Amino acid sequence: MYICLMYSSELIKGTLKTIVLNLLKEEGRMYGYEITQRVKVLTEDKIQITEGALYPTLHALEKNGELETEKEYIGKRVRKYYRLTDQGLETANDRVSEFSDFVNTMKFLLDLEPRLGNA
Amino acid sequence: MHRVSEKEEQLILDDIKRRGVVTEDLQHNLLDHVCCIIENEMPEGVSFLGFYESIIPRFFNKELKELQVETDNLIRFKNYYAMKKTLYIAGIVSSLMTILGAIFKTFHLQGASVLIVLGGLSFSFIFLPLIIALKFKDEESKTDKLVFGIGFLLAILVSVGVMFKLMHWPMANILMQVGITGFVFGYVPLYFITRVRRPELKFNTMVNTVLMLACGGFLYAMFNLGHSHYVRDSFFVMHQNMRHQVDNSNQELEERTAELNDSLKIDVQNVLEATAALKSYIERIRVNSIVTTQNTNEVNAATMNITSMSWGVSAERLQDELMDPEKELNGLELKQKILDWKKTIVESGLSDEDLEHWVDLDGMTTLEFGKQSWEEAHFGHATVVSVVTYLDQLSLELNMRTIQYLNIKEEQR
Repeated sequence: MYICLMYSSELIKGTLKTIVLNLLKEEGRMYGYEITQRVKVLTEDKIQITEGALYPTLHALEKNGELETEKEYIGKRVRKYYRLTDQGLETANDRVSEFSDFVNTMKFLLDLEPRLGNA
Repeated sequence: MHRVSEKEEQLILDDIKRRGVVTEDLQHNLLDHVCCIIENEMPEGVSFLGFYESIIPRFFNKELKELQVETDNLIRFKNYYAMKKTLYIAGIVSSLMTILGAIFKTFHLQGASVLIVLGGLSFSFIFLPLIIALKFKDEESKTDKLVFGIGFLLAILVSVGVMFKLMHWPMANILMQVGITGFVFGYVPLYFITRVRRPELKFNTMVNTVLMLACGGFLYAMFNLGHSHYVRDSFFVMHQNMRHQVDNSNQELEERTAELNDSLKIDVQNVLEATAALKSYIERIRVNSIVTTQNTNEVNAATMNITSMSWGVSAERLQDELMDPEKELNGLELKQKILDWKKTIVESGLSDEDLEHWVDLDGMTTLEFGKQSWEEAHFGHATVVSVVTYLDQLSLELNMRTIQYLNIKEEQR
C-alpha cells in the first residue's frame, strides 16, 4: 500500500506504524495530509506514504489507545488531529529502538560497514 | 490556490460514501485529505472534477472500499496476537488440569473435581471459542468457515458433556448424545463433501474423515457405559430377597418371643429391648439416608423401594453426614450401640466366645481404599444403595442372632 519512489514495498512493510508514531512524537499533533507531506519532505521524496495505508493505520492506533484525537472545524469540514497518548509514547520509543537495533543487525549481517581488514 | 467550496465538499463526501466508506470518522478524514490535496496541489486552470477524479486513485489499488475493509480488519483483529497467546495458554492449562484431575481422581486425592471442572471449562469456553474466532479469520472460504464453526460448536457440546459425565452432573448423557450424533452424522459428512472434491485436500480429507468416524464411533459406543442393566436388575432381586428375609426374621423373632415361658421372658427382657432399640436406630439411619439423597420425606423414605432410588446421588453429602460424630445418626454411634448390645448379651449370661462372630465390627482392607475401619468401610465411601443394603443386612443379622441367643438361653435351662 506504499508508494515508494526508491524502495521496494517489501523493504518498508511493517514500518508505517513506527514512522507515524515517531513523527507524532517529534511534532506533537498532526492531521493525515500533514503526515504524508512531512514524510515526503523529510525523506526528500524517497518515501511517500499512501493515503490507503495511512488511514487504516491511524484508526487502528487510535482504537488501540496509542493515539488520541481532537477535531477542528475548517468551515464545515472536520479536521482530525492525532496526538500520542502515554501508551503511544512508550510504543513509539519501543518501536524506534527495536528498528534501530534491527538496522544495526542488518548492517552487520549484510556487511555494509567496511571493517578493518576487509578492505 | 483553489478554495474548496461547501458544495464541492458535499460532492466529495457523497462520492466517498457512494464508494463504500461507511465509518463516519474515516469519511471525514478522507474528505479533509482530498480537500487538502486539491487546495495545495491543484494547478491553475484545471477543472475541479477532473483533478478530483485524477487524485482519488491515490487512495486505493482497485476501489476506495479497500480502505474501509483494511480499517475494519486492523481494528477487528487488533487482538489477534493476544488471542493466539491466550489460545496457547488456555490449551496448556486445560490439558494439564484435565490430566492432573484424572490422575487425582484415579488415586482418590482431594481436588480432583476442581481440576477437572476448571480444565473442562477453560477447554470448552476459552480454548475452543478462540479456535473458532481465529479459524474464521484465517479461513478464506465461507463454506470452510461454516463447516469448522459447526465442528467446533459440537466439540464444545461434547467436551461439556464429558465434563458433566465425569462430575456425575445431570444432563451429561443428553449433551454427549446430541454432540456426538451431530458430529458423526452431521459434521463428518459435511466435512467430507465440502473438501473431497478439491484435489489438494483429497488425501487429507479422506484420512481425517476415517479418523473422525473412528473416534466418534468409539465415543458413541462408550457414552452409555453405566451399570449394565443385568447387574442392576440382579442386584435389585438380591436386595428384594434380603428385604423378604428381614421381614421373615422379624416375624420369627416375634413368634419365638411369644413362645417363651414367663421366667425365661424376664431373663431375656433386657436383650430383647436392646435388640429393638438397636433396630430402631438402624431404621432411623436408613430413613435419614434416603431422605438426604432422594429428595423425599420421611414417610415415603420408610417405604421406598431400592428400585426407585437414584444411585450415587449426593453420595458425598451422605458420606459426610454418616461420618460426622456431631450428627445424631452416624456410623460411629451405630458401632457404639452395637458394642453396647453385645455387652448386654454378655451380661445376660453368654460368654465372649459365644459371641465371637456376632456382628463383625472388624475393619476391612480393599484394593481401592486400603485399610479401613468398620465405619469407614461401610459409610465412608457409601452410596445410598450400599448403606441401605448394609443396614438391611445388619437388621437381618440382629434378628437371627437374637433368635440364636434365645435358643442358647433355653438350652442353658
